Amino acid sequence: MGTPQALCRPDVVKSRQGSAIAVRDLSHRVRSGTREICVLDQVDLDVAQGQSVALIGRSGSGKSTLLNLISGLEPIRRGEVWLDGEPISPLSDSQRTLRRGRDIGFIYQAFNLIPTLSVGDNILLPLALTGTDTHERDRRLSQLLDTIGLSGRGDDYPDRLSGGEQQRVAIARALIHRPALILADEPTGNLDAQSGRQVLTLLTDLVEQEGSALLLVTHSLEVAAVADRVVVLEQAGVRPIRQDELSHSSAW
Amino acid sequence: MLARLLARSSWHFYRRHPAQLLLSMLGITLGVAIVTAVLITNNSSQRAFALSSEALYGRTTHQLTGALGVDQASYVQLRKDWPNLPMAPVIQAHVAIGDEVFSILGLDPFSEAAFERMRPGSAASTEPPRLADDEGAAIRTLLRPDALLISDASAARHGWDSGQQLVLNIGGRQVEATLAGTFSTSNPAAATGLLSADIGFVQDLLQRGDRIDRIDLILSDAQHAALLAYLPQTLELNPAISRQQTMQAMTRGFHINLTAMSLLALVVGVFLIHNTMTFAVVQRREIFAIKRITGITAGTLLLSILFEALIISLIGSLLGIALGYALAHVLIGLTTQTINDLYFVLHVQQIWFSPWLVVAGLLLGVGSSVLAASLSALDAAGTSPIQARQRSLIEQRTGRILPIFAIIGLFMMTAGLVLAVLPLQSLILGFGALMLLILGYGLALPWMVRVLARAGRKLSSRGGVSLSLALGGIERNISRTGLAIAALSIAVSATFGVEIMIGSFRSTVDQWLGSTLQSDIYVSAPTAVSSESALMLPEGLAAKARRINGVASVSSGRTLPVSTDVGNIDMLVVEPHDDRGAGFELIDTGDANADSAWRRWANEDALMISEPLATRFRLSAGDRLQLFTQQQGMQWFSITAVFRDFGSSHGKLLMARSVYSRHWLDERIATLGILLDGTVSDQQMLDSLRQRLSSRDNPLLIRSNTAIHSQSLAVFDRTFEVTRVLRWLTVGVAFIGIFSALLALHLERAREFAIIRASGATRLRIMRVVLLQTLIMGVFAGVLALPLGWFMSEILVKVINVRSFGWSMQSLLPEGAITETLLLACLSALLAGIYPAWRLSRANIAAQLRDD
Repeated sequence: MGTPQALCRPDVVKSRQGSAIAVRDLSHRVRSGTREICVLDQVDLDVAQGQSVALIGRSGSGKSTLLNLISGLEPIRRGEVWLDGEPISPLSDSQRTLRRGRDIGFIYQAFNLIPTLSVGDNILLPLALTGTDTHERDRRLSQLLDTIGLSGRGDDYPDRLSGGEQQRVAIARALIHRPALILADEPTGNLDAQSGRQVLTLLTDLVEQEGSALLLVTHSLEVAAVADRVVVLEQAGVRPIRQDELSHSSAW
Repeated sequence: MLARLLARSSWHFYRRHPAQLLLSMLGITLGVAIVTAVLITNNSSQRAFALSSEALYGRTTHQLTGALGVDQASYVQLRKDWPNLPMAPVIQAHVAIGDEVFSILGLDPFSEAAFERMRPGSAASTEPPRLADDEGAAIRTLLRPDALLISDASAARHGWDSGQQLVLNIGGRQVEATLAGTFSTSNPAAATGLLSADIGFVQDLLQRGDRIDRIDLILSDAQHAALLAYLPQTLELNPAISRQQTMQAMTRGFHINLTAMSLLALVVGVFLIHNTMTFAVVQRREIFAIKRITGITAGTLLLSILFEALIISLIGSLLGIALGYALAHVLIGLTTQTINDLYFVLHVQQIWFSPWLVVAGLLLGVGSSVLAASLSALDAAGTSPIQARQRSLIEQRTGRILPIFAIIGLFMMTAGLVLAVLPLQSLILGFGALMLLILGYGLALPWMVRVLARAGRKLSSRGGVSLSLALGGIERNISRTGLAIAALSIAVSATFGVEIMIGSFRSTVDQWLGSTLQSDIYVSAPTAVSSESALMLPEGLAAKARRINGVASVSSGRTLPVSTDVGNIDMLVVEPHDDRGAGFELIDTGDANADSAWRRWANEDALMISEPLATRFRLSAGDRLQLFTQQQGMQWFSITAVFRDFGSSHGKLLMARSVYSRHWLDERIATLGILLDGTVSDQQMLDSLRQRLSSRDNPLLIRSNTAIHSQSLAVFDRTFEVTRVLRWLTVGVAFIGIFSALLALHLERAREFAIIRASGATRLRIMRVVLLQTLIMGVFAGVLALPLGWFMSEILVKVINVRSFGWSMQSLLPEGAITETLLLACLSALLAGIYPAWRLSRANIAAQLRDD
């Protein structure tokens, strides 16, 4: 591996019009002991409204870091991210948090449901934070519980559900406030093949139905194949990959 | 090998959570420190009392006393008639040198050899007093009439040398004496604050004329029987030990009360220890589950958790004992002051620390911690590995257990209340009732918290997300929040209960002083110590006072110890302003009314007794009591009434001066009460009395009603200083507990808060949620503390006080007590929540969400 500077590429500016998310020239370094490692190097990425993009890459390639930067969980030090046409790097931590709450839905590999909140309360969390009208909340909850096939289980607690059911709850939570962008980090990583397929179908259907953009991080080529577009993150940079390339690639 | 692995795993956990380890230990340390400090304090004052008794009485087996001391002629006659009997005349009093009070013992050097006084612990050693280097000069000094001996330790402490002139303050008079030498005792603490001088000198010093206090004797059984037959009925022979026992009994209730307060701190401490140990265990339920899956048995796991608790509590307890030793120095100052104010003069210069205290401290700290940990350890070890990973299951199971605990708690509270209302005299059972009430309420508290949180959630459904998250967090984490709130609530209720008790007591004493102090101005001879009977006033002073313009009437009084068939009791002899009584509230007059009781008291061979005396010996109006009189020895007196009195917990007799004069042939008085006719102001009369009655040779203490009233209340406040200190220490223990509980709880929920942050909650909102949650926990703790505190105060006032001191009173809620209690609970919780809130709001969300 070369020096961090040697890995960084010159600036490239592209259009961001009509994108749910536009990443420009995004670089990120982390310190490991005395060394500084360039995790992302002048990354550019666009996800149009209503589009789904799969981001594939080997373990440790920086996929989760990219999601954290896009969602504002980690501050952007170099480059820019536009969320629904507005840059997020000038925003303070509070402003980024509020944008995240309004415009982004998260789905994690480990589900990350709150164990002491019921299924219904977990799904309602984003609406509770924005102070949505109770009647509207209840209507939306009931609708989503139906969609994910868990109607009548709103009062159950997450650890009484199977992995697939938990991930369906996480999907409902990510979509309840109709965000512009869904970030899904290995959503099927903890599930068996059949549950994984069911969850994926549910996710893509719902995203399409709600008109949100989807950025899907995965190791699995099968999962990546459901997206409109696939990009690969390697050597700290993002490059597009064609469907035929994908079918000939080894597993990530 | 396995044990080492498990120990290493525990060690690694605490290395990652040092604050939790520190707080667990601190909780144990503080709890043990308070109990140890009180044990050391009680032990030290009791040992100091025993040692000083040894120094004062030496080998004395019996004491010969009269109703008003012993006539010197009686001693001379006894010496002649019983030449071989070891006997020594003694006068014992208190004098002040500068600000310090000393006990002075007037002895006859030629009679003392056999008694070996001031040599406790070394009866074989009979070395003479140590003199200055120039022996001739030293002997001349020793033969001076004003020669004074002091222990070498006291002399060294004050930097006094032989030959030095000292000014003794006795009854306001200044008398010079010469320090002639020092005496040594094997234990310097025994002779602390003790002076010795020739009996003749002390007689002059105290203006005793030809009277001595007592004759000390060393008697065999046969000699005792023979002497009893010989003695006139005006002299009384008692075993020396009985006086010491009486004095020790006086402070028994006081010491038990102190111990109870410290045990209360320990109960709170145990709750908190249970709390912190539970957190340390539940936080690792998943780790334990993995260990179980890998084949470690439940028994091994249980033992490893208990071993961990043992090590933590051992270190915490040892630190607690060390801290308790330091704390004892503060408490000893406060308790000695109280004993000197209320009971008798006691010099405690040395902290008595025995290995048994270390054992007691360790047993309490380690025992209670291991017991507290064993409950959660049993639960963790007994849960199946699969269930251990299901957090909601823990909460649901806790939810099901809470009503059962509440019912058990209700039974315990009922048992406590039944025990409290049963007509028993046992103080220990009284405290048992109090503990049952506290523990029962503590068991029911988490259920009550859940009910409150649920109700709060329903009521505040439109109160915003922060409130909803905060209330929901309390209800959904009831296994943790319930315990933390219970611990804080108990500590706060203890402060509320004690506040009501002290407030009720103060208000009752205040009212009592108002009705008892009937005169406008009081005249007495100054004394060195407040617990001692006043010295006598010069003859004719009452008549002189009556002649002063502006004086409407003059009452008189004196207090003297009287030997009765129920032991030595102080008797107040009064000549009131009028026939309508001496200002005491009568609480039992038998079949008669109050007027008739006062009439009989003034005219017949009768007396009244104070409430503590009536309670202690189950005496009531209509009973009779035998008193040792000057005129005819033991005489029967009928009790016409029981009066309310907060002046002495040991009990008091009240006798009319005319009755006293008849039986004691004594007209001396110690106090004058002056009632003004309204033509002069209090201040004018004070000035006039000081000018006309007080002189350099006979200085008098002339104080207004208001001054005595406020001085008495100051003594009262000083008495409860130690209770206040213990109460704040208990709150300190509770604060550490709630802080560690909140820290552990919120760290455990760090991932939850990270999810909420990721879902769009700002740092400020997280801080708001956490602080709001801790504030609500404080409000719950405060609100729930009020009923328990009230019940505690009822038991303290109506049961413990009556059984300890014999005082009955009404409970009164001090102004602002409820607000103070709620504020205390809320502020403690809020303060304890600041750091966890700050940490949670600053946590790295990405790292928390990644940490799988």
